[in-house]
Amino acid sequence: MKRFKQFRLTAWQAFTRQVSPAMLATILAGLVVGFLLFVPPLRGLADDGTFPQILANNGLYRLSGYQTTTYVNPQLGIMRYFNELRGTSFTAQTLFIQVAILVNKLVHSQTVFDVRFLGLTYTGPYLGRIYLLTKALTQPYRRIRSYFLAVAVVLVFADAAFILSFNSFYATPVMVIGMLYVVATTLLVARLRTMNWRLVIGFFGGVALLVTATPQNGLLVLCFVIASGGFFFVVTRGSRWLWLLAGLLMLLILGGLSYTSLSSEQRAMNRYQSFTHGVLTQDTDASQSLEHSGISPQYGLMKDEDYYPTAFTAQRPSSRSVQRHLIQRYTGVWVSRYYLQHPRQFLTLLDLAASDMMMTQNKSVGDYQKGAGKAPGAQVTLFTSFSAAAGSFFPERFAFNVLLVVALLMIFAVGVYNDLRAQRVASVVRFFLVCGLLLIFISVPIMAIIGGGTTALAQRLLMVPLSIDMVLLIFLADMLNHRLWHADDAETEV
Amino acid sequence: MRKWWQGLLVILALTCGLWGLAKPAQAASRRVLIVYDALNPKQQGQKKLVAVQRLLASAGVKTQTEQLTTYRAGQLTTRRYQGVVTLNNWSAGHLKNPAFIRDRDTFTGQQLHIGPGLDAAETGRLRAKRVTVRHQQFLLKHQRNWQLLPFSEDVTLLKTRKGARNFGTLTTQRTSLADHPYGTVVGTQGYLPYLEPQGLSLLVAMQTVATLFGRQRAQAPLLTITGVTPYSDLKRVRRLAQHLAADGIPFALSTTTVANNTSMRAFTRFTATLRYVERHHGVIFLQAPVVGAANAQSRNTLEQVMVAELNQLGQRQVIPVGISAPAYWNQDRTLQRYGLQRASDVLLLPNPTTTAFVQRDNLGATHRTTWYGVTWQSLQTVRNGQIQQVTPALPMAVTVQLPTSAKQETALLQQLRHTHITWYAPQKQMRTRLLSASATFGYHKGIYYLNGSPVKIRTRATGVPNYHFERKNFVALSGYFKVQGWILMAFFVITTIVLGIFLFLGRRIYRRMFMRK
Repeated sequence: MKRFKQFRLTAWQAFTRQVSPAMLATILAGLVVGFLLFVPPLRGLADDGTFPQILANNGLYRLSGYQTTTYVNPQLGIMRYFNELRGTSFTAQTLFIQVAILVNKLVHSQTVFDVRFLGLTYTGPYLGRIYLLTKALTQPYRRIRSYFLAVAVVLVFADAAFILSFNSFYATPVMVIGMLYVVATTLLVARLRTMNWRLVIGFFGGVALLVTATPQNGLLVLCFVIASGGFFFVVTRGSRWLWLLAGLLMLLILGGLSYTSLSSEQRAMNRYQSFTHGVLTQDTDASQSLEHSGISPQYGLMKDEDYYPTAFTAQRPSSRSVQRHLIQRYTGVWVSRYYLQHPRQFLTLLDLAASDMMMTQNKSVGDYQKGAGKAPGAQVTLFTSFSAAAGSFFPERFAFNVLLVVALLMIFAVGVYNDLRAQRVASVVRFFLVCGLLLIFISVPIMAIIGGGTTALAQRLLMVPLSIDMVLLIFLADMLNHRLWHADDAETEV
Repeated sequence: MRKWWQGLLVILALTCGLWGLAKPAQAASRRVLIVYDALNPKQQGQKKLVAVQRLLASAGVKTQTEQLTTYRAGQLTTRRYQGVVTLNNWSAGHLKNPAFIRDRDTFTGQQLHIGPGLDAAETGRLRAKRVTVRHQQFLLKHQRNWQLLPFSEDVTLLKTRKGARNFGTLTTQRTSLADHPYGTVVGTQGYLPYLEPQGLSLLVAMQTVATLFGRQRAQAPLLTITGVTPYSDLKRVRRLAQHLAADGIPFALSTTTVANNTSMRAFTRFTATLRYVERHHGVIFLQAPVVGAANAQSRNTLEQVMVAELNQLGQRQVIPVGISAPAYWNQDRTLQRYGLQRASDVLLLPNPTTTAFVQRDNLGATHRTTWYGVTWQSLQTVRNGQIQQVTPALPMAVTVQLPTSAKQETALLQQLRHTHITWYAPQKQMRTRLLSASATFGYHKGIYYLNGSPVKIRTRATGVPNYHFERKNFVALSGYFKVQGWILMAFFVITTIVLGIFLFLGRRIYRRMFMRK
């Protein structure tokens, strides 16, 4: 018995010496990703109608037999001649898709694109970021709780809800990778004694990915500017401050460019649906609440209409009269004033957003390829435990989210107070990061409701679960490592 | 014995009935085949084709449209067609289908040739001589109206003999060239050297078609205000109706409506405006909705939408006299069957720039009255000539867009006051029927009927189930939960206050716990 105990101890020691928690997380995540994306039958996310634009923009086209919403399309055609739509809009996704096409051309085919090459292109940076994040959360310990943390990271971020989108043209993978990048680098910067500029550049790269992932993310650059506030406590010399400021300025410009890259038609669509699926959603007479608002109350009759009508409608939303009398008058100022005058309706909408935000798995489209023997629109059920649990148990009230933010801020503020007194910076950097993430957590639902109403809400709220998952992971890690209230002196390296 | 008699009687009755049914059915189902060579967008061939389809629909003739290249040999000679229209849009294309020419030469029904490419056989049947004129600008004259035509490349005109019925005169400034007729009908043969789907040319073409197919229905044009939606400026609609009524101008109003959200006050306001129009001698045409996307469910959706729209209007004493739709609706099986077929009066409007077919079949159907919608501008511009007096040979509606500014409104009213056109007065002549799923709408000389009984139009709608948004449904225990919420809230507030007081009282001890000495 004693020998067995001894053996167990030495085995454990050997294990910890060979496999760090970060390595464990990477291996586990790699296994999950490998199984989900590359073991037949092919899994991914089907087209919800938004792909063709992205495909055309990247020089790809739909082959015959192309499926929408029900099944994933494993193969796409690569355009060989002039493509007038190429480069009409730039998002971070384009980078990944272009790399994937290049690899595909080198290895697979000049004419047919296999979507798994895109999955592969995302997997590389993704696994690297998982390694970095786990390292940031567990360094320098190799205790059982560190390995527990590693498993938690895998549970949260190697969830099928995120991974399946790697084999698709949604912007989800870019946001996941960007978020992992931002948080891991910031935490490492916080724990290091000296400023590591590679990490800071990594941080800027991550933010650049996030804000250019979709035009809606452009405004989030402000949250990340706040999140980077801690760097100014790490950098002490004046000239380096300027470098940081220059970097932040670049990010602001990038965010602004990304936000303004929406075409006028997309903007009109967002405004229209924000009106019909936001302002007009109420139990009372919607047309009456529009009186004396500058918009004709007759437009109340448009309640629940879509910008691209699915069947029949009284007037085309793209017609000149609607553009002139509704969409041009429906500005951000108008919406804000309206919701200020109707706070109860706004809170109801925010509660709706709160109940949708943890639904990270896109269940409206199928996950399998046609011919895999699955029903149309069938969903993957493996590796979904975390998203399923979060989706069903997270409280569905916006007020709760606000309380949670206040509580978390208070907890992390204690660390700042203690660290500043002890002349340390780790908790300060962490606090700024948490502030930025929590600001995303609170502001994205508000922006989503104002910017586009309740249409496809869960998909537009993706940054919300990402940021709250991160904050809770940081909280868990710091609690287990006993550095929630103040930084410790443990050595950390990259 | 008795049974044998009965059986024979039943069979006899059935045969008679079938024979009786079959005969008019066959006569009515005989279509006119429209054969066109190419769409030729440069010469607006699409518009011309649509114009031909609409002209024949207004003439009460069912049509089938076929491209020259898809025409099958023997198609015409199957006696399935009562007539054939040859539309040549692209003379430079020299598109030929010998089978068609052969079949057309032996065809005995009505024949109409439009555009260039009139061959010798056709000329012979028209008992006329061809005159080819190059690069001329013609002036079309008809009664006291005229229209200056654009420069023509190549026009084949006819020198007709006695017995031919001619419509309109084409003159040039060159004195050496004699006047030639525009439209010609000789027996069952007809000819139009060109087709300009607007202005006087259209009116004369209308007369030619009506004469050839024997459906003359000369009546005044119907003034129709289009572009009205539930989102329009309703005050302007009221004002316009009021002014038109004051000037004694009868009119129709073509409007779309919504199928949902009808319990809103905005809808009450909209229907009140339409009732106001009805009370001011205006009749309502329900405009078919915009087709957003077509799919397998479109058939059911369209039926539901149309029935819901009609019923919601009918409940509020807004009784449409007919349905208006873009012309392409009449060339689509689903749109035609579930949209247009329910009305006796259909107003076909010009096509929008994009057409969304659901089940295109190119089979034009007919209705008791198919109004040909022509825009007011197309009759008024200088190029199209000042048309003094219009008596179209087929049912025609002159459409004006609902003005979007006060300036446009006064201008329109001015123009309408000063025109010499006598307008069709629905109050004196119109008789229509319109079916929704459960209700029958009728209109006869100024009186509206709902399910056969006359309806009085008042300023306020009668018999509408009043829906109150504010009235809450009774939920058991809702009071209890409310009280519980308040108790909890009070509890938390009191606890917080007490805690705050304690914190304030013991702040020194608390601070000492954290401060390092």
